[in-house]
Amino acid sequence: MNLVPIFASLRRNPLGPVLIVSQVALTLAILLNVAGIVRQHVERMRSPSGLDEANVFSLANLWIGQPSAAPALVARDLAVLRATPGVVAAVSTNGVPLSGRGGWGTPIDTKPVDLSRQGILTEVELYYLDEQGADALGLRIVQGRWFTADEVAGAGQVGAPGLVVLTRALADHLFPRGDALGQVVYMGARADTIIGIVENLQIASPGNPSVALENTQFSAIMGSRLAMNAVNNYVVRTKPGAQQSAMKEAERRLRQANAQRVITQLLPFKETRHNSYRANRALTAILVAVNLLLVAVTALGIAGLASYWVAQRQRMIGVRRALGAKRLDILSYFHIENLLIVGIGTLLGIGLAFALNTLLAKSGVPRIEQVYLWGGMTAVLVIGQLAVLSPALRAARVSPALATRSG
Amino acid sequence: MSGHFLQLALQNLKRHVWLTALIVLAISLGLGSSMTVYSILRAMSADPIPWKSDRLLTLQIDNLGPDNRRSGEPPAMVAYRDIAAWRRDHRGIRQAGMYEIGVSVSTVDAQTAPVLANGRATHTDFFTMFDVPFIAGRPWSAADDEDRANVVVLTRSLAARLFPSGKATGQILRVENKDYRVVGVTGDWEPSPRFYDVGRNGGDAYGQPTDVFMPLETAAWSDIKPNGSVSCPVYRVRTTEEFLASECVWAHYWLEVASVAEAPKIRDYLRAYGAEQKRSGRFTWEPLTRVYDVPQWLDYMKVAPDQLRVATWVAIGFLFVCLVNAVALMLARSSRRAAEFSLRRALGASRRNLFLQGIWESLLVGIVGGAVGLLWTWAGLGALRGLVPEAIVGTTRLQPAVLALTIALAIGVTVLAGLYPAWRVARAADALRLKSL
Repeated sequence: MNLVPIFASLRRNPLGPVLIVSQVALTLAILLNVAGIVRQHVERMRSPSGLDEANVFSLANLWIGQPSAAPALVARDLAVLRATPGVVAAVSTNGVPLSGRGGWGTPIDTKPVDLSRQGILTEVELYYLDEQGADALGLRIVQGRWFTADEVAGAGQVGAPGLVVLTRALADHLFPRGDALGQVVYMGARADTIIGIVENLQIASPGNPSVALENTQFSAIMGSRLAMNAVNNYVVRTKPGAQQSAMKEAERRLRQANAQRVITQLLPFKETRHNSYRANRALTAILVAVNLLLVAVTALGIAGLASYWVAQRQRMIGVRRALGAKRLDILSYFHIENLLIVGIGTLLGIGLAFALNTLLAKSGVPRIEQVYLWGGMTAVLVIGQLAVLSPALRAARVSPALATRSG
Repeated sequence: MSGHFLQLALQNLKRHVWLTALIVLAISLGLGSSMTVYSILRAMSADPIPWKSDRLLTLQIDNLGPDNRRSGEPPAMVAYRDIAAWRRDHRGIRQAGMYEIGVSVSTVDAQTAPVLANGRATHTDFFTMFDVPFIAGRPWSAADDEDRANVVVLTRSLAARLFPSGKATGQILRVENKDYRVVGVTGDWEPSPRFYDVGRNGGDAYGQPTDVFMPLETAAWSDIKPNGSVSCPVYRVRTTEEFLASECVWAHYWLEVASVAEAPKIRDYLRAYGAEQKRSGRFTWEPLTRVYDVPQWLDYMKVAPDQLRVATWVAIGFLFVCLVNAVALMLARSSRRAAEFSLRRALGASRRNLFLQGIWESLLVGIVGGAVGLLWTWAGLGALRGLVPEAIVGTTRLQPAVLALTIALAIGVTVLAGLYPAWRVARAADALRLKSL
């Protein structure tokens, strides 16, 4: 195929092609930058909480009148919950993963706290759970063990002295050689020996895009019978299929045991997860919708302009047909022209994409990955070819007789 | 004359109905999506108190030490002891400490089940500083603050819920296990975003509205704990006295200055305060101090997430693509009509008239595109309503300002897009083209 006539015609009437080139370039630049954001959110929404999600529910219990006997009241509540039919285990805790309730953060280090190491300490989320904690949340212990009943600090105390369970992500972060078990970590004035490592346990607000995805698993657990005189969170795991009935029955029994309370946020964990990622889902939906429309509008634009060119060049096509050009020649003329224009747009688009990427890196736009680069380029070229197909077919049907028209 | 242009424009749009529809579609989609995202960004980053946002200042000090800095910045919340000291020094015309509480509230006759109320413990200046309207009664007095009086101010909705049949002021209310006297009822007041609550861990710029206010001194000394995180350098704090004297941070402090010019003085004051605290042996480090006004504070706290800003840019980029598209399509349309324009030139139409004719057609496309774009925006916001966090659903209404902007953009953008094609038509059309008829 001879490219000379294509170039000649592009040079003679450059405005249309320039418009398509800039449109394609912008489209590709936006697509490549958005792909990373969307992927980040999807990964986040899929990240494991560490809980047995299908069988866990939780609630927030507020005591009325700040009772001083909160430890005894909570102990009774736990006994009530644990005796409810269908319940496997129940626990009182300071926070519930993904619920937004919790967020008791503290810096952690492998050495005693050093004031000169400012800004480089790892921030962890603390969970206070008793000996049933692992069972109630459905945590998977991958190394070491959980707290025994004797090791759990008594009521009123916060955290058994000296012992801690970490998530695998946190353990590996603090001890990159993988020998975390048995080592000592320091949080504030505490020094704790790591007795166990759980596979996953996410923080209370993992949807926040300003927290890196790896850091959403940075949790530390202390053995404690938590009993606040205001709000306590109860987490309950049920036998498969028993959740709905157990939830209803648990609420009824709790109210019966003590009416001086307000129960809120009684939710299956699936709903907690759904609510947790609402903002991420909304942003993802916006970005995906805008980008689909972007591609559609660009394709329509290419098709629209191509059909105009076909109409404009009817006579030229007729002449070429009369001079012996086959239908396939006409078809490929338009396709190659399109490939050329869209190709230039793609190249410019890649440059623009990287420029934008550098510019937006501070706003949390991830770096463009090579897969997206190839995928985006191919997609844009294919869409260009598809958009020009119908006008090109129409061009190929132009009768050679048109050449005889004067003009 | 314009009537004639309009008539011609209508005729032509009808003749090229598919191409016109494509242009309208492109422009309206671009407008619809960018306006949808912009509506949300706008609502999330609006100035909640524009008439004095640069005179309201919040203070931070690095009392937890370099170890507890967040990205090198002092904690967002402050300790009670600093609030007490700042109030004593009285550097603004109004000042208040504040923290969020969750309390059970019921009437004394116990007719209704207790409800969990979202409360705010603060000082009396809160109401005047933030211009909270009252529909009955008044704020508690400064003396009530100092005396730790058992008084509360209710918001209209909670007052109506608890006292459906009569007036609430003067009534007695049970909050937790103590009785409080209702001294006032506030009218509808809920700034969005709730700038005074965003620094709290678990704080929410669009969270639950406040139901009840009570004096901070009363709440703090009755051991009503903050509804959110408390960050402490040491773990064990036993008594209320110890807790309030500790370095634990769990509250906010805002002050109002008489004029913007006073703000630097507050910065100097706070720096001197920090230095003094170090001198007195409270800190072993040089404490960082920060003073933010409302817009700076919302920005620092990233109330409107950066990625939403990126999404807005994406949508604006999309609008730009649509614009380029419209130019290309309009160009295509006008070239198809080269012969018609030539005929009109030959019959005596001036270039100026042909140009105006083109502009009129774009104007018409713009109006239709804007109207359709509004429909898209409305639909887009409706679709998002189920997706966004519940608290900002209210912001997904089509705001009048956005409506006006959409129409203005639609017309501006299409006329802009139509300029070049119209100019080309007016230039190119000459009688010679008649040959191709």
